[in-house]
This record gives sequence, structure tokens and C-alpha cells, in this order.
Amino acid sequence: MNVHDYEKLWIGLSMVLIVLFIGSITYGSVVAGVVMIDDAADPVDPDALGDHPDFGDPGVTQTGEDTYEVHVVAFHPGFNPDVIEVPANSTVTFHVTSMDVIHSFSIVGTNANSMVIPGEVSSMTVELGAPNRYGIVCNEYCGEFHHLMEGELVVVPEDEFELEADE
Amino acid sequence: MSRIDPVVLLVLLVFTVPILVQLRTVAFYLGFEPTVTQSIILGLAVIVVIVGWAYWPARWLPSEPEGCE
Amino acid sequence: MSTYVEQFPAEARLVRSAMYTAFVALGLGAAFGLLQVLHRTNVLRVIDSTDYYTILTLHGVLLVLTFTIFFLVAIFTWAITTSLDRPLPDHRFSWTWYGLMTGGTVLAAIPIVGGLIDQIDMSAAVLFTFYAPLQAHWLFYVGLALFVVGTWLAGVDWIRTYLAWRREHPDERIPLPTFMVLTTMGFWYLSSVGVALSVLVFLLPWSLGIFEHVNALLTRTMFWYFGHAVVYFWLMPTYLLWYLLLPKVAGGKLFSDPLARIVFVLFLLLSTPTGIHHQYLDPGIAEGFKYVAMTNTMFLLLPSLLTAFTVVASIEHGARQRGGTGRLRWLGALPWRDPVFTGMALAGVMFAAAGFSGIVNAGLNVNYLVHNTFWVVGHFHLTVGTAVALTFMAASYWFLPQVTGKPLWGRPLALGQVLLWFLGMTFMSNAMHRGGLAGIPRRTAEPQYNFSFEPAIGSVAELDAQVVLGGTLLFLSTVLFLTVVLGTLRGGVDPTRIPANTYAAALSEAEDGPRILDNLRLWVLIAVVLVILAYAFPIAAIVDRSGWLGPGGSPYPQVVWVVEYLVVALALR
Ligand code: HEM
Ligand SMILES: [Cu+2]
Ligand SMILES: [Cu+2]
Repeated sequence: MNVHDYEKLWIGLSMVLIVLFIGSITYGSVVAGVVMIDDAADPVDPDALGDHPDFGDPGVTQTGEDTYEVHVVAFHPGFNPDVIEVPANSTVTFHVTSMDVIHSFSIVGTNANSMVIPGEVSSMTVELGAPNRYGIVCNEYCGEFHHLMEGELVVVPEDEFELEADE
Repeated sequence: MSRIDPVVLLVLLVFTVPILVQLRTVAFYLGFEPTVTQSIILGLAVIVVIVGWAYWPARWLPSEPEGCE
Repeated sequence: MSTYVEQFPAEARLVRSAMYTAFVALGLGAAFGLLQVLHRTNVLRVIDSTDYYTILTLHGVLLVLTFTIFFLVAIFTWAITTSLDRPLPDHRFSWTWYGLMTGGTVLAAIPIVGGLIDQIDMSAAVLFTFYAPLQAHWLFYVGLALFVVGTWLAGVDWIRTYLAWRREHPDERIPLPTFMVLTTMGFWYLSSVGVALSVLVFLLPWSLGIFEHVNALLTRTMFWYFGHAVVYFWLMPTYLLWYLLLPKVAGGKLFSDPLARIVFVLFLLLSTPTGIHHQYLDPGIAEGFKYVAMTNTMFLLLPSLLTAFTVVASIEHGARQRGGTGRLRWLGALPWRDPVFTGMALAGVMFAAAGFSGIVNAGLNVNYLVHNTFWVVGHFHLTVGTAVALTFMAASYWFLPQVTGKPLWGRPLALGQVLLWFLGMTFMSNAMHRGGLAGIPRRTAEPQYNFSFEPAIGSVAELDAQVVLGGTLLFLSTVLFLTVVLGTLRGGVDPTRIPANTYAAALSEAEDGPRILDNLRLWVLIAVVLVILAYAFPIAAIVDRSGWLGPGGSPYPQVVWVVEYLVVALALR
């Protein structure tokens, strides 16, 4: 089979390019430590979230000096809780699940973006800096009021932060 | 007499549009922040230059019809 | 040397009918597209935002299932009969699959449209991805299944034609167009089995109330098992046209036949085991599986890069045949006045741009930034919405005369049409990409929230203006296209003014390539093995986590509500 010289060169360059792309993604995963949403959390029963130890009473809990966990339940069309308050300069892990259809949990202007699938839990950890306000949207169509589905992440100064008293 | 076929010129102009649109991106990366109006004016200017080039008499070119099709 | 309709009058009728169906879908889809653009940007809202999703379902289904696939069956029927120089074996069979595809489309459309009419208690606002537990009326699933079965029978028709030819020509190389059709159908059978099983085994029984729930992640994974391959199903007829028609109208020959075969074999092998790249951000799927899908996807760049080379080299060859010279000046020698050429060339340019945004999408961890944002909509309007759609429209200007015997009407209009599409898409797609980077979500009737999006460049208002400008130009371009089609159909038959039905010959011919390239059984076998490797473990893991029917969850919109509604309606009468 006769392959033109330019063609050989092109194929060679294409392969180099492909390997470079794969390499840079691998670098992002292995060295820069960008973790993917995965199957780490156990499945949950979307019909019985009320009885779930964490999703039964969603919200913010403190797990360490500067670390917090937030459990969020997505439903059509909203998030529970819809306003999430966390202190500045903290590490926050979100655990999100759905009680009905597929949604997303996407903090606008950040990399925190995940599908939310009934029966599964999406966990993502973010480092928060200075006080700020971020919008949260659902970017997966979930029903006729999908466009009304939004929430807010409020990063408050550390000295103003108070955990909501748990009943 | 135009330097290139008018239809080729038209295609060329259409081709220029995405380049002009992306030029705005480049400008922002380089720290210039043109407004929409400025970008449009710049785009029109480029288009006028291209049309001008196409229709300007090609007097100073060597006599063989190199620039034409 | 004569036109297609003179050579194969019966097949020409079939090809014609399929094209007309495609054009109707395109016209409707474009009108809905304009409606969406105006609604999202809040320029003009003629429908309720709750109905937006029904319109969007129609836009998706009509354009990426009806328009593209009906055009595909037209092109493939032409390719098989022309390159094997023999008619389809049984015309009743051919009209049966055409009927199944049309009937399926209509059945699926009924409940979707029903969602807009209060008196009809049906809906299917589930978008073309129909992710459970969003539930459509069962007719939607039945229609979808019939449509897919129709395409399967179409494939049988082409394979039968090929086998009949093979019996008479035991030692010849498969003609390139037929080779392209057969490899494409190979991965189509392989991938559409996934969606067919999902619909028939889970979704249809569930919509009829036989199962109470389905596994959302499993059915979603089965959708995407098919959902990436379907992308290549749209793209393969496009590539076929770029390889066979584009060099010809450029005045030259295809650069290399064996390389074209390699490209199609690579698509057969890699189209399906990549689907999980649409699920990078799904919980319940291990990172390892996502990584495998990412590497497969990146290797899928190779056949497209090879295509870029071959297409450009073939065009350059054409330009030089036409007397073009110089390093770049040959570009001026190309037939830019011909809308068939210009349309396809512009489609190719936009596809190259789409390659860049596609690599971002494919980048596992980079995907966080863009997943489900308006960026993605910008991306696929460059791929299926331009590389495919514009190529099909441009090719129609060549095919319409071939299958009707009527010369093309309004050639300058046709040229204006393809240029207008390019312009419109430049603006619409650019702004969509930008908006997506700022976090603006896709599939949303009112992307106006209590907070505001902050684009890195310019403002949301500016992006909205670009989307509206682009969308309007695209709509006008579609109207122009349909005008040229109708103008052509109204004209008289005159085959003497139509070029003969041929396709590009190759500079490096089939015989230059090794025979093993034509061993389709082998390639299909390897494709099956790759699919099993890529999917057996993820599917097993999903089922292991929460069972075939999932951990629970109710369908939406709930059947109970419908029952209540009926009771209330009856009581009020
Ligand atoms: C007149 C030209 C067109 C216009 C103005 C247009 C506009 C749009 C807009 C604004 C959306 C996004 C809606 C949203 O996410 O909220 C959209 C979605 C879409 N468009 Fe188009 N479009 C056009 C042509 C096409 C063509 C030719 C194709 C394919 C052949 C296409 C395929 C799609 C698909 C698959 C979606 C996604 C549907 C979904 O999210 O379920 N469009 N279009
Ligand atoms: Cu939603
Ligand atoms: Cu894909």
C-alpha cells in the first residue's frame, strides 16, 4: 500500500497530538489531582430519603476544624436546602442526590458541576476562599419548571458563620 | 475590473467574519477591551480594506496577470 | 452517462421521498429553533415556558433523528445502487422500511405534539434523550422502536443488494461507496441494539405500568451506548459525500481509496466503545471506566484528522486540475460559484472549529467546565448542525436534479443560502460557546436567574444579541433552502442539462490497499469485542449496585396525576 509522504507525516503528527491530549488529561487526574465524580458513595433509595441518616435532614454539618459536609436533595424544581451557607477559607464536600428525576448540581462560575441521578449520590469537594455568593443551577432538564430550579451558595466571613442548630 | 472574481470575493468576506469575531477574543486576551461598537467598526474597516484591495486598479503589479484568476 | 433517475427510476422515487421527508423535518425544526432562540433570550415569548420543552423535544427529534437519518437512507440507497450498478432486490421490501420509519416518526410525534394541546391527555416532553424517570406516553417509545427497526431493515436491503452483487463478482474489491455503507451499518446495528433494548425491555413496559420503576443510571447508560455512535451515524453520510462528491465537484479525484477505507474501519471499531464520555459527570460509574472512554475518544480523532488531510488534498488536486497554481493561490481556482462545492467546503471549515470544542468536551476533567452548558449546544450546532446539515443541504443541490431529472433552480440563491448558514452559525455558535463558559445552562426556557452570569468577554446582553442574530440568519437560510427546493421541483424535466450520475474516482485506487481491509466480518468481530470490553464491566457494576430495575423512584409526570386529572375532568362534565 503506497502512502504519500505527507500523509505519513500527517498520521505521525496526529498520533503525537492524540498522545499529548491523553497525557495532559492524565496529568490533570494524577498530578493536579482533579478527581471525577465516581461510584464511591453507596446507592440510596430515592423513595425513602426521609429515613436516610443524612438526606433525611439535609444541610451543613461540620466534620473538622475547617471542613464541612453539605447534604443536598434535588427535586423538581428545587434544591433542599436552596440557600447553603458555609464559612470562608474552608473545605466543603457536597453530597447530592435526587428524590425524583435526573438533575444537575452546578455552582456557576466554578468547576463544581455534577449530574444528580436518583439512587446515586454525587460527592464533590471544593476549596472555598474569600466571602462570596454563587448561584447554583440545575443544568439537566427535569420537567416543565426546570428553569425555576436554582439555589445559592453563600460563603460568609468566618466570624459570621453559625451552624444552624440541629433539632 | 476587480482583482478577483466577485463571487470569490464574497466567499472571502464571509470567511473573514469568524476571524473578525475571534479577533475580539484575542484582543481581550492581549488586554485590549474593545466595546461592541468598536469591534463592529474595526470589522467593517477590514471588510472595506479587502473590498478596496479587490477593486483597486492593479497598476503597480507586473504586467503578467498574476493576481487575476 | 445519464442521471440517476434514468438509471434507477424506482430507487429514485424512494430516494426522493426520503429526501422530502427530511426537508419537511428540517423546515419545522428550524422554525422551532428560531422560537427557542427568541424565547431563551427573552426577545419574544410566544409560548409558555412550560411548553418550551415540548418545542425543544420536537427540535431535537425532528432534526437529529428525522432529518439526518432520512437523508442518510437516501444517500445510502443512492450509494449502493450507483456503485454496485444494480437496483434494490425487492421494492415492496424497500417501501416497507420506508413506511416503518415514517410511521414511527408520526407515532412518536403524536404524543409530543399532544403535550401542547390541553384537550389531548398525552405528552412526551422528554427531549430526544428521554432520560428515565422522565416518562413519555407509550406511543413515543413505540414510534421510536418502529423507526429504529425501519433503519435496520433498510440495512438488510443494502446488504442483500451487496450479497447479490458479490455472487456475480466473487473476486472484485468492494466499491468504496458500498464499503462505506456496510461499515456504517455495522456499527449502527451494534449500537442501536442498546437503545432498542432499553426502550423495549425497560421503558415501554414501564410506560404501560408493567414495571413500577426503572434503573435511571442503567437506561441512561444504555442510551449513551447508542448516543455516541448515532453521532457518527449522522457523520458517515457526510464523510461519504466529502470523499465521493466533493472531490468530483472540485474537479479532481479522491486522494486515496485505501485510506478512506481505513477511516471507515476505524469508525466501525471505535464509535461505540466511547459512549461513556457523555457520562463523565455521572455518579455511580467508576473513574476507570471514564478514563477508558476518554482514551478511546481521543483515538477517534485519528480518522477525522485523516479525513481532513484526504479532503484537503483531494480539493487541492481538483484546483490544480482546473489550472490553479501557487502555494495558496490554487484556492482561487476552486468552483466557488457552485453552491454544492462552497456549501460542503464551508461545512468542512466549521467542522474543524468543532474539533477544538470537541476536544475540550472529551477531556475527562476539563469537561467539568462545560458539561451541559450552552457551550455544548454551540459545539453540536457546528457538528451535526453545520458539518452535517450544511453538507446535506449543499449535496441536495446536486442530488435533487439527479433524482428528479429537473435542473437546479436559483443557483445564486443557493449560493447565498450556504453563505448565510455559515454567517448565522458563526454568530450563534460563538455566543453559545461563550455563554457556556460563563455557566449558562442548556435546555432551559429562561436562563435568567436571581444571580447573573459573568462572561469573561463582553456581556450576557451582547451574547444574547449574537444568538438572536445568528438564529435569525439560520432560519432565513433554511427558508431560502426550501425555496430553492420548491423552485426546482416546479421546473420541467430536462436531463440534458444535468451532470451524469458519477462519483469521484481515486488517485490511489482500491487495489493499492491490502485485501484485509475488505474483510468486514473480521472488523465487525473486533468491534464487538471492543464493545464488550468497554461495556460489560460498567453495566455489570451498575446492575450490581442497584438492580435491573433500580433502587426506586417514581415516573414523572406521574400516572397518578393523570388519573386524578381524568377523574376531575369527568366530574366536571
Ligand atoms: C435554524 C437553525 C437552528 C436554530 C436557530 C437552532 C437553535 C437551537 C437552540 C437555541 C437550541 C438550545 C435550546 C436549549 O438548550 O435550551 C438548540 C438545541 C438543539 N439543536 Fe438546534 N438550532 C438550529 C438548527 C439545528 C440543526 C440543523 C440541528 C441538527 C441537525 C440542530 C440540533 C439541535 C439539537 C440536537 C439540540 C439539543 C436539543 C436538546 O437539548 O434536547 N439544530 N437549537
Ligand atoms: Cu432541572
Ligand atoms: Cu459523543
